[in-house]
Amino acid sequence: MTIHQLSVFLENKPGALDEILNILKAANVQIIASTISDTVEYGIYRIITNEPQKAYNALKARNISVNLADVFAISLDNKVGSAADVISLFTKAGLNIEYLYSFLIKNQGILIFRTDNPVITNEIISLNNLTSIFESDLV
Amino acid sequence: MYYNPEIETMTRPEIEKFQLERLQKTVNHCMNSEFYRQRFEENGIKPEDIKTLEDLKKIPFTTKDDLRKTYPFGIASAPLEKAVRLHSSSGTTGNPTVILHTQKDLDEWAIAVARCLHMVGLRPKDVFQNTSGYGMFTGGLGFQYGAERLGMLTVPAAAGNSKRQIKFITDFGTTALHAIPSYLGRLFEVMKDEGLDPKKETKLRTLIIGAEPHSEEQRRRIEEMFGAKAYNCFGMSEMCGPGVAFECKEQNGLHIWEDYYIVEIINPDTLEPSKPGEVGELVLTTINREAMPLLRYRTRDLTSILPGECPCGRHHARLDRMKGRSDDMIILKGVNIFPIQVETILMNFKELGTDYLITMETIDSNDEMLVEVELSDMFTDDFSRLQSLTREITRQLKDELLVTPKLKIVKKGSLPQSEGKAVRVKDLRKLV
Repeated sequence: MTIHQLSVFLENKPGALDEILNILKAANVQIIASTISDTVEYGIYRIITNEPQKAYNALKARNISVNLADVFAISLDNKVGSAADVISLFTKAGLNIEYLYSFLIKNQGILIFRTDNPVITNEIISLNNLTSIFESDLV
Repeated sequence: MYYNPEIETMTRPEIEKFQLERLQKTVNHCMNSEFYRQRFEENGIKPEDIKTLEDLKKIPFTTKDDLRKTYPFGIASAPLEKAVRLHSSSGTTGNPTVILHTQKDLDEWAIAVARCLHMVGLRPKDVFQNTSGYGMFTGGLGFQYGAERLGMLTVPAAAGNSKRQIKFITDFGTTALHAIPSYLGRLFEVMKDEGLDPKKETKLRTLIIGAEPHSEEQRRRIEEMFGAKAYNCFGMSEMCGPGVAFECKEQNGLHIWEDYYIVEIINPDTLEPSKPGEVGELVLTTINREAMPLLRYRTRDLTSILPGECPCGRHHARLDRMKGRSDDMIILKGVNIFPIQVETILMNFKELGTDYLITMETIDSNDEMLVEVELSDMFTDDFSRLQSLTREITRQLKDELLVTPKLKIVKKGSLPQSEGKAVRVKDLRKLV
């Protein structure tokens, strides 16, 4: 139900992102989706890759502050309102979405997110037969 | 013209004769202190050996470290029941330093401060507002009692809340204000926002500025802002607090009261006396104190004695503006800060690396402290946790330092390394 996500601490200044991307390139890791959240001083660069553990090791070896965590990933029907329907399920259960981003893979919408209660999130996904994505699906 | 004419106008030979008498009395009195008795024994000195002022050099220096080691009352030369007040430094870099005062000490201190305030032209008809923090910080009670002693209406406004300060200034007709120089810039900004021209719409004509390094240009700028004369003052809690040295109306050097202190300037490395006019570390011996006299106390402040006579008619030596410190102490907003205090707090956080950088800068005429630390472990994928870490570090630093720093988390490896002599402190404050 979850996939691995890398979270990299980035300073908000020129070259910070460039450094990370080039380390991943050198490690021959492909980025499938990524997003930067920024504040005035620093950002968190969240990355989904085809080989998260390899990417993590490569970044660590270059002294980068990186975190490897599990995030929820579900695929959506390719139609109007599908994201709204899914998120409503979590809202009704009183959950808070801490962050969320989306991308397409093989024309299929994917939602990556984190909530404040993973146990209940899992239950909602099972009970409503939502389609979870696994790392093998991303390759 | 003078508050204590007979003292203030003493000639050099008279001052020196006066000092020798008081020094001998002080040294004898110090033998009531376990600390000094041992010091004298260890160094084979007896109080009778002090026959001239020159003999003072036979006595070893007293340091801040001595005060810490004997914390809290170990250097006291009077029994504790004679003491009526204590002041203490904030530093928890080890033990804080504590200074005890008898009622006579407090009276003498008030007289010294009153003499300083009188010297810059303040009189009983003036209204004196004090923006120092009260409590352990000596700038609060020190100025309060001195200003009252002089007979002025004294407003203990204490630190902060600029709008309230301005209301007091206008409502009470404040004519004299004591503040750290960086705060006056801030106060002026707030007055401007309120559409108040301090030159025309307040009665301010005297400003007392000190407790913080500042340049002559900064003084002139402050005088221009407020349309008032600004006088530099110098004090430290080990020497009571304010009232040690003060400018006269000439604004050229700070007269140090030599009936209270014997002044030496030494080379902080060789500990030998500096040549006349040369910058060195200020060493002071208190010769008018009961509870806790200090012999040859190394202040760590760097300055020199100005040559020549002062036209004001006082022969008490004039200290030049403080040139800095012979240790790594930082003075921010009048608060003393040692980098080790910052370091000790940061080391409690396992998410942080061992390198850090303190930058002091002037932002909107306010002096600020920026602390940069490296994030060694990206322990989360979540912003709120990074932010609560930042808040927690800031809170602990504030509790320790008594000023609120701005905290910035930076990338691992981006700060100067701790090998060798790392740059831990950058001072970019504008002194102009």
